[in-house]
Amino acid sequence: MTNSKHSKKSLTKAEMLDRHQRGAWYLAEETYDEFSRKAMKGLKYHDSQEALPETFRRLEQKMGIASKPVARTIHLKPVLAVAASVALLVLAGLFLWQNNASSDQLFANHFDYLPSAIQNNEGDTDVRDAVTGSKGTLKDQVLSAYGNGQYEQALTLMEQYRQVFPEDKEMAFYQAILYLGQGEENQAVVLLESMTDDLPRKEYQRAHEHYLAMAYLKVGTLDKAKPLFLQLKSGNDRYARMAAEILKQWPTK
Amino acid sequence: MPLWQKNDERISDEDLIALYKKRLDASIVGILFRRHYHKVYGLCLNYLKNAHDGEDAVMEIFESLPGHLVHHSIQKFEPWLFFVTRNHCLKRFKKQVKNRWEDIQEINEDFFVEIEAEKDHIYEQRYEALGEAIDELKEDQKKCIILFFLQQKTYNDIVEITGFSYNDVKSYIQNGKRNLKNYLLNLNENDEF
Repeated sequence: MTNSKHSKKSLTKAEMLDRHQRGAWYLAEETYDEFSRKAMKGLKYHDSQEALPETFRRLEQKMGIASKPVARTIHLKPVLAVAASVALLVLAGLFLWQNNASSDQLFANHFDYLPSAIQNNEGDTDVRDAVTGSKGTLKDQVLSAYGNGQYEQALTLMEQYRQVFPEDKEMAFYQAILYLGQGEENQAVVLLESMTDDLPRKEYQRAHEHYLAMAYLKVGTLDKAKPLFLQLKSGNDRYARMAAEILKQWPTK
Repeated sequence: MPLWQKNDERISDEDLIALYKKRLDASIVGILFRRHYHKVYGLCLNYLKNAHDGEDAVMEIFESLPGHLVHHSIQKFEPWLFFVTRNHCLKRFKKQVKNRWEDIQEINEDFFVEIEAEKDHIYEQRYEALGEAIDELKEDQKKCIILFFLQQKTYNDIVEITGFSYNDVKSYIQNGKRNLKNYLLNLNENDEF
């Protein structure tokens, strides 16, 4: 890269999001640096099933680099001393609960929500008014809350939706993931086990194995979780990578 | 809270790197990467042409950063990150197309057959050219070629994923290969390699 290229403009995240939304993938060579131009062009290959801001949010969470407002830190200050004491107590507790803690830690380090791949073409309009009285179908609302990372709300809406549409297995799969993420792992296990031989779509097979293994890990049934992770590890995708990482840190007992 | 955390937007990338070398505080790497990861993601997609692989590559690059920052002398972070990302993706691209090596050689023997014996920068240029050639294909051909070369899918897999007929898949891949060959021949004629 030459010096003249360095002086060219670098694409900001806001510009990138805006351009992506407008489908303006090509940047002028005389204005933007090579990094920006190639990066913008690459976004044509972004998975259309997940909005770009959501992908960025998820990536930031995965890397632990999400922006934190300064105000939050200021609010934490008065409780730091208490927090330190609590931390000591928790540490002591961790020694007593070492096995569960390591499973929990593994789970916490590797759990992430599956981006929604559901296209909502179904009309549950009649139901939505009866259940929520608000705009958009109930399924739309569930998917919107899920897509926006409002998982607690998504789970509440999902439970309402599934009461009306218990046969919607695809939504059931996401409900299981929501249970898992919201600390209701036993419910997640039940739901995920129920669809082992009857997946909503073939494409969910690896995801299903992964989340079932994660659910077993969370409830502490390591003897059921490990074979699933070993099976996942033999693949060649993100689930294989995650399984390999989890197995590397597998609890000794 | 340290000053650099309060005013991180005012601190240059290079100063953050210097600070990281001094303190080895992982949050500094986080601040640095947060400024640029959107472009890293886009660049990974540009080379790997698939969101899942792109995302994995971003994570791998992020995880490799602390080691790089400590062991390398980095004058300008952004151009350096561009090359790190590019090289990472090209290595991954090479690995992903390995099982389709015979098909790749079939596209253009002169271009690829001796590639293993060439210097690193030559094969990088040639893989990059192949990636750019794929970008230029018509949508249906591109979809099938990416699934075949980069994601190692069989014809039957591609039929299932795309909904195209078997004959269409076969035809898109054959025509796609021919168009890739023409694109690369054109590059050769223009002495770009």
